[in-house]
Amino acid sequence: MAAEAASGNVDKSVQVKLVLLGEAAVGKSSIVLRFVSNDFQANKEPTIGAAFLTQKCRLEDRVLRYEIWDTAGQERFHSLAPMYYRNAQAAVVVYDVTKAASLEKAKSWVKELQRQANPNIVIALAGNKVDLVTPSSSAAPPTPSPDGDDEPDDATATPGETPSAVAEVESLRQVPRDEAQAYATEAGLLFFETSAKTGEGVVEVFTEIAKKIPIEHILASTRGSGRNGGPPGRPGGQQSGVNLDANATQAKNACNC
Amino acid sequence: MDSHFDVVVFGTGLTESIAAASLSKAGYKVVHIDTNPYYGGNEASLTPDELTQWCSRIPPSKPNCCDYACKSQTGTVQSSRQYSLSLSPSVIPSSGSLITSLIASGVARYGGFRLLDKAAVYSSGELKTIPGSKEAIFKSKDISLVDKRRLMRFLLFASGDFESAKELEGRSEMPFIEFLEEVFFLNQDLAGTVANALALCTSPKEHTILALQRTRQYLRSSGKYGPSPFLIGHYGGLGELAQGYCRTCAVSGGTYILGRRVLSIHDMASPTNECADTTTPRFKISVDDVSEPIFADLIISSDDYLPQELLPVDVLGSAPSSSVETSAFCIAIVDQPLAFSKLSSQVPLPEVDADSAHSTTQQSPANDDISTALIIFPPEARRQTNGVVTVLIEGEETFSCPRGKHILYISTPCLNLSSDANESLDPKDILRPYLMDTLRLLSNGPIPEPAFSAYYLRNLSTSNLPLSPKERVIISPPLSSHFATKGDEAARNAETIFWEVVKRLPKGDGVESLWPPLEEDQNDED
Repeated sequence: MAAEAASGNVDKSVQVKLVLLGEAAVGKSSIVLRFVSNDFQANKEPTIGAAFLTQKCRLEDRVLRYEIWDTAGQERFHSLAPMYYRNAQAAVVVYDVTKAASLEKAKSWVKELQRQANPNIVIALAGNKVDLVTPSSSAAPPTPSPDGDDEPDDATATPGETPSAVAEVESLRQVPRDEAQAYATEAGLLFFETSAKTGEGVVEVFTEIAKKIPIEHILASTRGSGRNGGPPGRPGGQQSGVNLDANATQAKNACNC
Repeated sequence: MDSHFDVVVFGTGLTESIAAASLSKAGYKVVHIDTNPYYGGNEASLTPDELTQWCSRIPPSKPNCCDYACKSQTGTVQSSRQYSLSLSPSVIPSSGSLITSLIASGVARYGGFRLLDKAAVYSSGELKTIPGSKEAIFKSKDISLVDKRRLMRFLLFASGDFESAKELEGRSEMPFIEFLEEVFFLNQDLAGTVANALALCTSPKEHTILALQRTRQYLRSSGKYGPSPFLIGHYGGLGELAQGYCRTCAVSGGTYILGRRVLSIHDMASPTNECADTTTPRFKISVDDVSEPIFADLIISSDDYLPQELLPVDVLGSAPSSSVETSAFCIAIVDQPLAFSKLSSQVPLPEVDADSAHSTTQQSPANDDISTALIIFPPEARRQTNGVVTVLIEGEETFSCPRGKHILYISTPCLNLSSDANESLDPKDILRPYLMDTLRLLSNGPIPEPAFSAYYLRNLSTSNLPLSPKERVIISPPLSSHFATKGDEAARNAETIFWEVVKRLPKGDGVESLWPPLEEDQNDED
């Protein structure tokens, strides 16, 4: 509930900042949209017009509250601000299984995270658009619409690479699963293949991250004196920070995220 | 990319970043370019490693309205990335244009803020705490009854709308201390304390009107978020906020290009017909490493990005006589604990009254918890070359440095400079004595030698730069050097720029407000 969240007293709910990274048009926003709204928009405009999206994720007796930050296009010219990485406890680095170059880009984002971000960050590598390379047997098959308008065209698929027949499907894959898996293992990343379009693998990314997040550590650093461990997930934590909105005359009933 | 933009913004200083965010939110297609690899321009927050690079960078080839000259830098620190050092250290008044903008734009949610823990004035070898408000004036035992009345009368005047008051008539440019003595009959000591501690004057000659405006803001700000009227931004302050505005711009569709040289800016309008055709773009910009040219209809820029032909003639041709304000800055990192317990005695000015929520005993954080402090060294007769020296101390609770470390920002206006003094002027000569004084006053044992320090000068040309040399070029003016007003200035300047753009490049359905109402955050319920 918004009110609960604003008071900062939600028991057992741990706020986790998660950042998305990856080359433009690999489907970062679409993965989030699938996770947050269980929705998919073909031919989506680049970037979601929201500061960040939130989604709760239940894990045994705990509730994680993901605060998901999209790159908002700032990745395109490699112009992400330090603020973006700051206090992120998790990252999903996305590539497109039909574009070999996007995995190389993903590797460079992983390096960037290791340089810029919190050293304990949990990183997941996600090979997206797997619907384009999977024979439509598993998961919910994308039913090709007869009028073929937005046919298997992924949200942000590059024009000209749109597949049109199932027969061609395997040949579209440019990143073998094994290769990406091997890299992920070596670099200590969680690994998934996903389809924002069908939903395949998407929820798993977030639940597996949730299992790996050091929740106790986060709780200790946000609830405790604020001095143990690193800075709390949200700057402006209860003890020392000032919430500007709190005293604003027209304070809205918005959640303070 | 679709390379035709409504507005190109050069420089990611706070003013330009606020302007970019507001325009992007209003539906303008914005591209925001900075040649630096970091956000924030002159207001950037840098790591010590980045600051070291900044210090050794090549100075610009042409004179600009605002230039920096780093004179010395020593030391390195471990874990450089855990520091955010501000090129433009500041406190943010709790009530003012920047706070309003932060809340209205939603950028407040990206930033973290801490109330300034302590403010103190140096007086005869001691540091004396400055109180946050005027209520307890009647309780102070140090001021005579007559002086209390006079001071109260002044505070009442200063907290109201004094702009058209008869007391100010013909005196708005008078030195503030003289004004206090002449109009409110304050004695010299009290007038000095008011000027330094409440009006935050940085020079003894400062104009009354500016000092009064700051006093009013001080009085209106105190109590809003707590006893101190000032907030300190986490992670280096203004530089972090600039990033927040840029993100807001990006979230609304703005495009960001950092760390690329601007190769050329070409005005495609014919000289006879300045802006006839609205379908062809007005400016063509090439940026290093971006294959396609960028087109835009309007430029917002700090003057240093603009080629000669887009600048008003008098900016660069201006004689050196057009006054230049020079300020000296020092950034130092110390890794010993500071004994803030020494900041306990009080200046003879009101303390907040004991019944209020923030009474002395409850309010003051235990000295161990003090993480931010402002120390003011009034001008001294023996040091003619500088004005008031301001020391801003930030500790781990501002998230600008790791535990156990402190960052000291020291600055002062340079006064009585001869015209060619700038070459030989060394900020270290001016500021190091104050750095060592501060450390001496705040340490129980041996005086720590800073682990890292940088000294630099800022030259601000105060020639009246026209806002707009051409219909489609808007220059964003550099901010003043005052630590308590520059953030508000940036917000005001950005608002002016915003409305100029709206006027010159109207949007179809009109723009009603600087910041559209914030949307409730979606999907909060799962």
